[in-house]
Amino acid sequence: MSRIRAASLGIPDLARAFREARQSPFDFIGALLGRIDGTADSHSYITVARDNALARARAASAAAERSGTLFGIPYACKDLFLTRGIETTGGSLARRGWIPDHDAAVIERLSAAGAILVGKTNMHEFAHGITGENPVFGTPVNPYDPKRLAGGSSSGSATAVALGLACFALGSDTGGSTRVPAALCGLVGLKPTYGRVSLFGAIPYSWSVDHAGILANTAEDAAAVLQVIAGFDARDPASADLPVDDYIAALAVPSPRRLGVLSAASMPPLAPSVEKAYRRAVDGFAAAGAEISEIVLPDLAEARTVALLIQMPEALAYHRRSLTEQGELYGADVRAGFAVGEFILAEHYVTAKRMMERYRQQMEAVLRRIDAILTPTCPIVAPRLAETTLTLGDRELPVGNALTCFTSLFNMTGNPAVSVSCGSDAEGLPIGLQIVGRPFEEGTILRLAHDQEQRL
Amino acid sequence: MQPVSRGTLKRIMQEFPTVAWSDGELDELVSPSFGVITGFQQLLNNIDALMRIDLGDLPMAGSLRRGAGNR
Repeated sequence: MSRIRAASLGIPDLARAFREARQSPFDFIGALLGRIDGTADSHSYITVARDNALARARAASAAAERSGTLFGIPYACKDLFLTRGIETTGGSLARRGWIPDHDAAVIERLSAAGAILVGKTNMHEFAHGITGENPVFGTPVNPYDPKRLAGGSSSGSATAVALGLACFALGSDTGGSTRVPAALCGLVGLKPTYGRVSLFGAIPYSWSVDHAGILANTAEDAAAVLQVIAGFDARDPASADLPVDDYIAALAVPSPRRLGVLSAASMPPLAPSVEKAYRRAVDGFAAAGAEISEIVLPDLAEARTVALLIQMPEALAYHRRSLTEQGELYGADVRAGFAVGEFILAEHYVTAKRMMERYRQQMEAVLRRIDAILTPTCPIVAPRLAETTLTLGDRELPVGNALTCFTSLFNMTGNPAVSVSCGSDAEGLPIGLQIVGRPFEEGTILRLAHDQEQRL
Repeated sequence: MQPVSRGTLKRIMQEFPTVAWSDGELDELVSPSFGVITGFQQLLNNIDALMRIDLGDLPMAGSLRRGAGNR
């Protein structure tokens, strides 16, 4: 297995080629399904929607009227988005065999735009962990080194795109579950603003901080997908009733110039290869004319505690009934995590939600004087399989703490954030740059990610 | 605060409406091995520090505004 793209063309150009009948969606998707069959040991997919994909591809190839910005584009979605008539497991035995009678809002929008679902991707059970391991359906491994993690929880979505088994994939992001696997697998991983993309029909993990995510090969591809799935949906109480910008057009406007980086004092320890790649990326923006200024973010270790105080009671609240009725079907690590939620007091949860508001106000203040923030996505490259702790600087940390140290804050603040590749270490393992913007200004961070891609 | 023990968690389970966690799961809280948290005791210590922060009149987080922090 190696890193390839499903198509030589980007998504907008490939969809145009399908619309103009210069390429056949049926032939393209037939070849893609063949690749999926040939890489079953990647464990990228839990369910391959072969019949659905071939039927829709055949109809697309025969259609007289060919419209839709994603016409004929094959995609995958994390197996927590409900799909009508197609099994939805949440990566768990507890949902095995469940066939929903309706689609998630994002699936509806993608279908309406002409995209074709080819399968449901593997994931950490119920999106509980950042490693992406799954003992039931197999663990998707890193396309750059099979002895290492792909990252999660959207692990199969990342490997599906990185192995050329889909043009893009949907993930979710509660503490970094789209951005982290994107960074570890050399992809673009976009977490839009909280409420920008409807989560109606997605199995929740933690309502207060759950976001949809997009895993793609380029910022332009991510922009094309976001254009389709962004927008108000009254069925999602968190959905924002605000206009949707033109994200493709945003890639061509002048780049934002005022960028913030963490001061040395507030930067957590980084692996040397990550520090080098990150500094080179920042220098690249500066050389292109950006004004770089130092900022101070809230304490990232404290923020992780706050995130846990919000996530674990909410996750337990959602799963309580199922845990009581069929708890033996849950994985041991998931049950152990949910048990934490049992012993967090209500006042602790309320305090964490107040801290969340404090973080939002702090981010508002920071983003009054700059346009976007640059951080590493992760302080390390992909960890080895089964690694539970690692040493960073002089501290031994659980892998989960390390991988999410730069990402989970922005699930609480709700700011849009994207991970884009900024190089690799000596062994060729990818390193991600995280770009964070103001709420509902996804165009700004996609523009900067596009700039970074041009320089790499 | 005294360090949390499995016995404390077990007594809470017996006296409050909770999921029926096994002894092994309670042990995982007291000394974790899955790499998700550094340990329930460490989490409690962190919570103790959080609860000392004066948040004044700050409410719980609500919805986001477009342009928050804008120019």
